[in-house]
Order: sequence, then C-alpha cells, then structure tokens
Amino acid sequence: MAPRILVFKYGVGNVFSVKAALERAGALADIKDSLEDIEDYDALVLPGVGTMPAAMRRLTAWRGKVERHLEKRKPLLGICLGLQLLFEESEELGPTPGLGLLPGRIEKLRAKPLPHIGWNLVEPMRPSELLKGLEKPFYAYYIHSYAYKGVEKPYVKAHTRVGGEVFAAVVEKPPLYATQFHPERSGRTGASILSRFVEIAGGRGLED
Amino acid sequence: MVAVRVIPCLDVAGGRVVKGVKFQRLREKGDPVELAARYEELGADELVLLDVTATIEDRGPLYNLVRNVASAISIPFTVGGGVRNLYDVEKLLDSGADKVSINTAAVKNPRLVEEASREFGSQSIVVAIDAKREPGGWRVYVASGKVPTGLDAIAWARRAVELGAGELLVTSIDRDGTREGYDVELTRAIAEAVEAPVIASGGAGRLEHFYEAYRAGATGLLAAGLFHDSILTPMEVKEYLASRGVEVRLW
Repeated sequence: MAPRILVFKYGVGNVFSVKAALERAGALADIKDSLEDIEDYDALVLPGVGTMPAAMRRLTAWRGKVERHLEKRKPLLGICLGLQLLFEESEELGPTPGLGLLPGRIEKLRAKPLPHIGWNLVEPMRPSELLKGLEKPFYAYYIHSYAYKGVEKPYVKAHTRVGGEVFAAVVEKPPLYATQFHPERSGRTGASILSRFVEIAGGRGLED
Repeated sequence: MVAVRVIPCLDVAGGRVVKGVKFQRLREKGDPVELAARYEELGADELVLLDVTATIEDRGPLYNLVRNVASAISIPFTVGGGVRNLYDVEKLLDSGADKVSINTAAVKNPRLVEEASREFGSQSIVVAIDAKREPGGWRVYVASGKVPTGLDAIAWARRAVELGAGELLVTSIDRDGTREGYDVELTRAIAEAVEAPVIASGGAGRLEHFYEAYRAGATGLLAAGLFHDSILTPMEVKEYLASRGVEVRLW
C-alpha cells in the first residue's frame, strides 16, 4: 500500500510541486488547508510557503494534532519554512514563536543579496536516515532568507555554506525530518530524498 | 556560492513549443511536457515556459499545461505569458510554477509587480524585459515584441527591481534566434544597474556565448533553439563553463 501523506497548505505559494513529487516517489498525497483528518494519514509534510507568523497563525490551532501524530511515531517532513517551524523561535517579522519541537532559534542569513536563491552544495556531516546513500556533497535548490545556524547540534545532519556562514541543510530527530532546501525542486537527488521519506512513511525504512 | 544556472526556454503557442528568429516566423519544435522532462534529464538547472501568444490573443495563462509540465519535472519552473493580475499570479503558483514572469502587464501597470511581490514574495516574481537596440540605448517592447513602449530598458530594469521583482529575464529581440551571441552589452548594463539576479536571453549559439554572458554579470543563462535542435545540451554547456572555472551543478 502506498503511504498516504498530508501536505498542509498554510500559506500562498506552490505546494502543487510537493504533491506531484511525493506522488512520483510512490505516495498518495493530498493538499489540505486543515489538519482535521490527520489521523487518516501516515505522514505529514509542512511545505515551504509564506512567512513564519502567517504559518504559525494557521498551525497553532492544530498543535495538539501534530503532537499526537508524532507520539504515534508517524513521520513529519518540514521543507524550507517547514524546517524553521520546528524550532522554538524565529527572527522573521518577530521574534515569532515556532512549534518548539526542537531547541533553537532561526536567524536571518548575513549573505547579500537575500534571499539565498539557487543551487548550492549540501555537505552531509552525520549519519542520517533521510540522506541514506548520499554521503558525498550534492547540489540542492534553495530559496530562503532565514536558517538554523546551530550546525554543531547532533540533529543537524548536513550543512550548507553561503556568504561566510554555515547553516543547517538537513535536520533529523525521528520522527522529525526537515530540509532547508526544496527536495521537490532539487532534481534527481531531491527525488531520492523524497523517496526515502516515502519509505519511512510506509514503515519500510526505520531500523529500531 | 550559488551555482550559475543554464536554463532552457520553452516558448509555447497553440500548446506546442515553437521557436522563431527575432520573435518572427515561429516554427514548431515539439511537445512541452516531453521537452521539459528531457531537458531536466540533460542537466537543465531550471526551466522557463513562456506562452508567447497569450497577450496577443488577449487571454490568460494555460493552467493545465503548467500543471502537466510541473508534474513532469523536479527542477525550478518559471512561467510567463498572459499574466494580467494578482489572480493569474496566484493561480500559476497553485498550478506548480515556482516563479511567475510578468512582461506586458508590468509595463502597463507597474503596481502589479509591487503588489505581487508583497503578496507572494520577491523570490517568486520575475519581470521579463524584451529590449531592442535603438539610437542612444535599448528600448522596451511588449506583447511579444510587437508594441514599442519608448521606455529605456536600463531605467525600466532599475524600476522593476525597486518595485519588488526578484529577478529579471532580459531578452535581446535583435539577437533572438540568430545564434550570434547574447547582447553582452545589454546584459552588462542591466546586471550593473541592479542587485537582483539577471537571466540573459536571446542569441546563444556557441559554448563561448554562455561564458561571455556570465562574464557580463548574468547568473542565469537562457537558450532555446540551440537545445531544441540538439546542437548542445545543458550539461555540455555546464561542462564547458566548469572548464573555464565557473561554478555549476555537474551532478
């Protein structure tokens, strides 16, 4: 059975590509603007659309549902802003509180010009379920101005450099998975990362 | 460092990919969905799809076509042609475009660029400028090069970025389809005038042309006919750029 994945649309922007990419990776994906039916799904995706305050306004009401989803060890994949939402707080238009599922603060990049847009190198640092088979540096597509810079933390599995700074490219603390880049727009490598997440969502990936 | 991008462009008319010379004499080159998938396979870093008859036919974008192309690829995707208002922009983003390119409507109503970039973020708004060399500089043309505006291309580029455009797609009408090389002076003049990334377009015919446009300050290098006619592949262009020390995505 193909795993069912809910893509939560909490802002304006392209989430269609995330759905299409998950389907290419073998999942059944639905775009929803609420988490009402999250119990019916094997995994949750928080995509990269909108701003931190706008997304949190929509997410706060569903915090309990997200927590229960994770208690059942069902996976969550955060993409771009979706990664940032997992942390305690963000500088974006704020400070704005996040979901606080991981300790730490999201900060603005110092690189000029911002946003950091385009293909940049991701350097894997620590063993990762999501990056299984991707030990060497690879290019991925970025479009963001904020990031998590605590790259020494054990849950940061890969990092990227821009404008003399290093930030988290992949964050993982099962059942939480997140990428600052857009795997749905990162060509073959991005597709393999999403396939890996679909495997994990189908319960065929995690070795306990 | 962000890698320099090689970007195939699909000009679409009547649902098919077409290509002309100096925006005239369009000839059919294939199916947009098939070509999009093939270019990703051949190393494209991004794709641009321009509906070149939408404005002339006074209609909106082809959302179904956009959805079909977006479903077939996993690289960034910019869509333009027939974008008239905020609704068109939102609907294109919902159909799988990562960026929306605005041309004629931006000239007619510059506030659209301002509102769209505020609503959807500068990163998703591209202003496309079609320019022709005339005495004293370059002038902007709209409606697929059919209508002169009298606007100076450099001044318009500056204004578009001030209004919130996150990127400029600059096409030389004189060089379009000629394979004589990009209008490097136009590329340089605009890249020097703005901080936003500039995509050079129009005239690519040989490997050296891509390097010249990169040297002139473009970070996106667009080509169409050259790829449609299988003269070069995006990966061959990137291997050449890498051999000249340019950072590109080779794997």
